[in-house]
Amino acid sequence: MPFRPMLRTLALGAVLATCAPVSAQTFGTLNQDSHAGIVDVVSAGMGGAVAATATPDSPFFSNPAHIAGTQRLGFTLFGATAGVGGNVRETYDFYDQTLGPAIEEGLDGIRRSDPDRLQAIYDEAFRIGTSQKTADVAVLAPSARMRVGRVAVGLGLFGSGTARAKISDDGGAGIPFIDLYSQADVLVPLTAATAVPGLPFRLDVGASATYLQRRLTAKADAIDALDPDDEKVYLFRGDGLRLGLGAQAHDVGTPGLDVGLALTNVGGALDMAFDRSIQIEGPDGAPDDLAEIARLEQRFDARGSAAAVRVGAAYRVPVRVPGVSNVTVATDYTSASTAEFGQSFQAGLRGGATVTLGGAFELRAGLSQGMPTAGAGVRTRYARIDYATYGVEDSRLLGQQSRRNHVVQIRVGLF
Amino acid sequence: MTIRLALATLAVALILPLTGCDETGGMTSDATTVIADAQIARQKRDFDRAEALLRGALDQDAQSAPVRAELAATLMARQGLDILDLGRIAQFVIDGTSGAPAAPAGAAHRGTCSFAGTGTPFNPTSVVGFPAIMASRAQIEEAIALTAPLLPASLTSFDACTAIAADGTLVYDRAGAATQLRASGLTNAQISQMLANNALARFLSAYLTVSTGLSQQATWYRMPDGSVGICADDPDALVEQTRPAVARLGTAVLSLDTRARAFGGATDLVDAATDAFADIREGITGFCASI
Repeated sequence: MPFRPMLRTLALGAVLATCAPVSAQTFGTLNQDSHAGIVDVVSAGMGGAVAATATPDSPFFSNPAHIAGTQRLGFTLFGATAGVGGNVRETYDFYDQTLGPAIEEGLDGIRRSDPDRLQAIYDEAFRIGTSQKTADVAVLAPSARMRVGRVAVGLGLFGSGTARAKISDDGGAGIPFIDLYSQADVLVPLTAATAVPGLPFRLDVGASATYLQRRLTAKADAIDALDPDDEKVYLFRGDGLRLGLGAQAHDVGTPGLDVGLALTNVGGALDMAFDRSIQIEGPDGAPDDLAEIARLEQRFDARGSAAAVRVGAAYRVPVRVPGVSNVTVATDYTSASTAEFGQSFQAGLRGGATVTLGGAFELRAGLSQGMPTAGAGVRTRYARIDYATYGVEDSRLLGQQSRRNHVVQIRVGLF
Repeated sequence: MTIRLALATLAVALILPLTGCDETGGMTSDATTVIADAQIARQKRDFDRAEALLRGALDQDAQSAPVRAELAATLMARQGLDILDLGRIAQFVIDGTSGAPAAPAGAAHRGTCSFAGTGTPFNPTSVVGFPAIMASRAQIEEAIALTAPLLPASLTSFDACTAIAADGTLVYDRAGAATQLRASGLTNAQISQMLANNALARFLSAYLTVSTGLSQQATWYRMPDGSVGICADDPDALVEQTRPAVARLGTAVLSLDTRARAFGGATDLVDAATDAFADIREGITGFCASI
């Protein structure tokens, strides 16, 4: 019966479209390798401006020169980051109020009795599935920073996992197309910086080298190309070094005005090699699809990974209000794209402000890629917790495929 | 002064993205970028923008395979044409469900016909959604015209009675077709999408032709075994009039087969399409015998 495979395809597509997990703001794609790093929650809250204002993670991933500000031993014992974003609520509502009841009622019955309703469900599933949902996690294993003479150094161990899924009608004739990509990184950044003597202002310069071990997998096919009786995902692995250089000038021209410049992610795309397969459906021991492995390897090897240039300025506003401190406004431009396409100049602009209240509470706000950001944090000597909400442009132009994210981070250590 | 400059820079950085004057927001001649933008617009159901982008790109390079394929996809999506329509038609033809409320069809043809004794007459235009499909005819035909130059000859030039045998066996140069498609400048995903859209457009076009485009009275019969039969005043004329439609159906079947077996896709969909093709071809009395 001709309609059965179609209906099965559509039903599966509709379900997948709504439970489509995820993407993250630092994901790679089949066209572009992603940079090495984790979500910098503190900077995300203030619009992503980080080149000239240090955060706990910025010396490792944004500007190595920031480690030069280390005056005494500090470390993170452990920490974790979790984030979610995109149209998660809309997706849940659609499933709860429309798709779930329809599945329970029986899609085949609806097709017979009310084809217009099925068409509407189908269209809505695509609309929601095309809009990306996000989730990301990171583990902050021990990292430390210290000063050795005139040089400050930092060493850390980080793990991050991101995944992305998108369901569109790119399969042709309304057949759902699944675009899955997931990535797990182990990052070991070593960073060092020092102040350049003999200048009329303080200039810190730094360098970083990050060992990156990346595992990733992808599945990009029309849904009817997936074999419900024998389907595997193929895991690829690559290792490499990513290098970074950075500089930060303090009190340039006027007290409180800092300027930062960084070049990161130098090292090119990783050479990914097939590692192993994971059976999703079907019997264990089924042979691997060598053609799919070859296709994926070819695509991963063809990806680019451009170095990122970041330049910015920050102004530490002198405030003499009791209980208010560390008032800073900052702005950045970064060449790093947040999409799988090259982006416009405006998409690289970041800006924001932060203020500390009572010595322990931090409030942040800003604009990133034309979207407002906000953040808050509580900081003690032994622990800190931070939250940020920010927007990411997933496409080439601002406003094309915007996505709002929420991320929270907790870390314990000595700060 | 420096502070003012710093604050001014910050203000520009914050406000510039809000102006909406994204520097690359206009038309661009880079086909890859145009297609990416058009895909996003299509997925957001902004069909006006998607179509404008693609038609602009087509004006600059009428032979661009990716642009032609994406424009065909946009036209089909704009009209809301998808495999749901195909499934609805198939179900209607097989057992009469998905039919709009209408008076039962009676035999319209004159003379005798082998299907008339055992089959139940029906009106093929009474399937639910038929008016919308009919209203999309121009877009369907344009989609076919856009993808036609991209199709290998083995998918378009074949003998409908031998390339697709009665038992469903497909006899054509599949490997050659796949090689030719891969050399067209399309990615595997684009090829798969193009073949699916092409198949859908040709199925719908053929259905519109045989259901509304015949110059003589014809009657469709739904047979007890799920097949169909078509009777007409002049069987020979019916064969001639339906030949282009049957050829389109054949190309649709071969497109689906190439897609499934060379680029990944459901083979049961191919089997269903092949069965439907065989049904219709055999439902036209003497179609193959007259060749």
